Amino acid sequence: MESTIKVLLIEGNVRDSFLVSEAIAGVRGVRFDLFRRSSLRQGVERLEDGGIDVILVDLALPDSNGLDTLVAVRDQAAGIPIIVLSAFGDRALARKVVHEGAQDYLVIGRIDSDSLGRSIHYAIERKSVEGDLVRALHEAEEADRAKSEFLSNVSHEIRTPLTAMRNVLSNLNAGIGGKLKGKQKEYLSMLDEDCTRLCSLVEKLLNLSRLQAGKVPVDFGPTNLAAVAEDAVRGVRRAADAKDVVLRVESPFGLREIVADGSLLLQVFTNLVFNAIKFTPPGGMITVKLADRGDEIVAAVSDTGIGIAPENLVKVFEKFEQVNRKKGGAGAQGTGIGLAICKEIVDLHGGRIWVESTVGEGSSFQFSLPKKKSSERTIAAEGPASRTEELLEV
Amino acid sequence: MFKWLSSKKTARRKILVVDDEDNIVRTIADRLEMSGYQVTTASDGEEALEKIAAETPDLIVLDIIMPRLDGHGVLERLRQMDATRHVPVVMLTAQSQADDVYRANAAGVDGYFVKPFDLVELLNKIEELLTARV
Repeated sequence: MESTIKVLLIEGNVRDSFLVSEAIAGVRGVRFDLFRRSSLRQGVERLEDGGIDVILVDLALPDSNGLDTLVAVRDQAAGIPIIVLSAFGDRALARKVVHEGAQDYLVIGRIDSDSLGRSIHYAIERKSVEGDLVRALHEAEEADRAKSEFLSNVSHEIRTPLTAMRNVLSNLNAGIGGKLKGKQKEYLSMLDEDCTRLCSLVEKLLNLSRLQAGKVPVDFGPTNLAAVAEDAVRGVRRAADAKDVVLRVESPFGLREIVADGSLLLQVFTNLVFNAIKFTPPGGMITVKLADRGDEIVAAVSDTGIGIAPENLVKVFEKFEQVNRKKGGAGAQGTGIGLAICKEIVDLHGGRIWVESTVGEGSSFQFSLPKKKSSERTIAAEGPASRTEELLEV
Repeated sequence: MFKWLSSKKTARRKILVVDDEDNIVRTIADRLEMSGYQVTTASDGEEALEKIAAETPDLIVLDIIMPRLDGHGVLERLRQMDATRHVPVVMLTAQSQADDVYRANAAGVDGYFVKPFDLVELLNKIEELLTARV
């Protein structure tokens, strides 16, 4: 090492200060500039002037004692490695000082030039590694923030042209620009369909990234799962009718409310039922079934569709994975985002989601929602009074 | 029924459409004109305030993210002035963010549409707001 290392020694005992200075003077191959101070106040003043590479400090000083000394020095010495000196060895104290941010703990009577030189060297290295880690953490946080911001910008940039496109289509369909004829009408309805698909894709993508970033506000309240399932089925009934697929909900009598976010679960049911419609040939049947399993409620969306091969079963919940189910006929395309969203939402509720399937017979997408855990949490957090309010809202 | 007809046909309600995206302004304006409204447009918040000062519209369709002065700024100023305090404002936004909704509600927005919205729904909302104030 060519450059000079500036050492600040804060030591109130004259003899100890001399011993340490001697040891430093004897370190070979490195040049040290030593600054000696004999009280905490003087030491802190020297730190304020800057330029120190490493601090050696005795915790027992005329104006400060014990860990307080270390904390005071540390707060003044951001980024500078600290080696604590002590007149006697104390393992518990050694652990504590390292925990409080010191790089090393040396017993003055046992210091020699070799050990002190090594300790200073390592202290500086360790502190620099620590600095790298802190910087890496900051960079990661910064990258995450940038990603969120990027997403929000992209969202804005995509929504704007989509709005203009939808408006144009709506205006043409409303007859601005004249009455539409055969092919014109047909092409416009194709455009309309694809535009709607694009809109829903953008929505889903944003939804998923917000869920993954933990940015979706979750609104837990007493939720009637059977009603949520009915709502979902009502929302997609037209799509089922158009494909001549029968939709039904089976729910045990007197199923108790659970504490959950109803609007998020509505998304789960809607996604699962809509998927089932896509992959079920005309004449088939889709059943949404709720079952009380004691600690949890299990919901199953089962279809008489084409099924999923065993090797693909684990992949279906991954983003952008749509395993080969395209034989279901026209309209069986998709991005696979829907199932990834379902998984995020079920995870948020502390539940599990899985699929059982037999090729050629159909698939059954199932998820469980714990009854107890979430309700206990809400009661503890909200108290009985606000629970009543939530009930009224529902 | 008669009330509805009179509000729609005879009064020729004036609507100001504000958005920095020309294609969006034009398509909304065309549709509103087809529905019998008299439409003026502006492409940012400052221009909107100038148009409003020249002639108070019956309703304003207002984008949020715009250069110079954004939609929140326009709405907040409108709500401070006696002449415009009660003019219904429907906001358009490209981001369904809680902060935006909260700020717009606090300032007294009358309607809120997330892009890409459905023009028919926007028309219905405008109709509803204008008939409510006959």
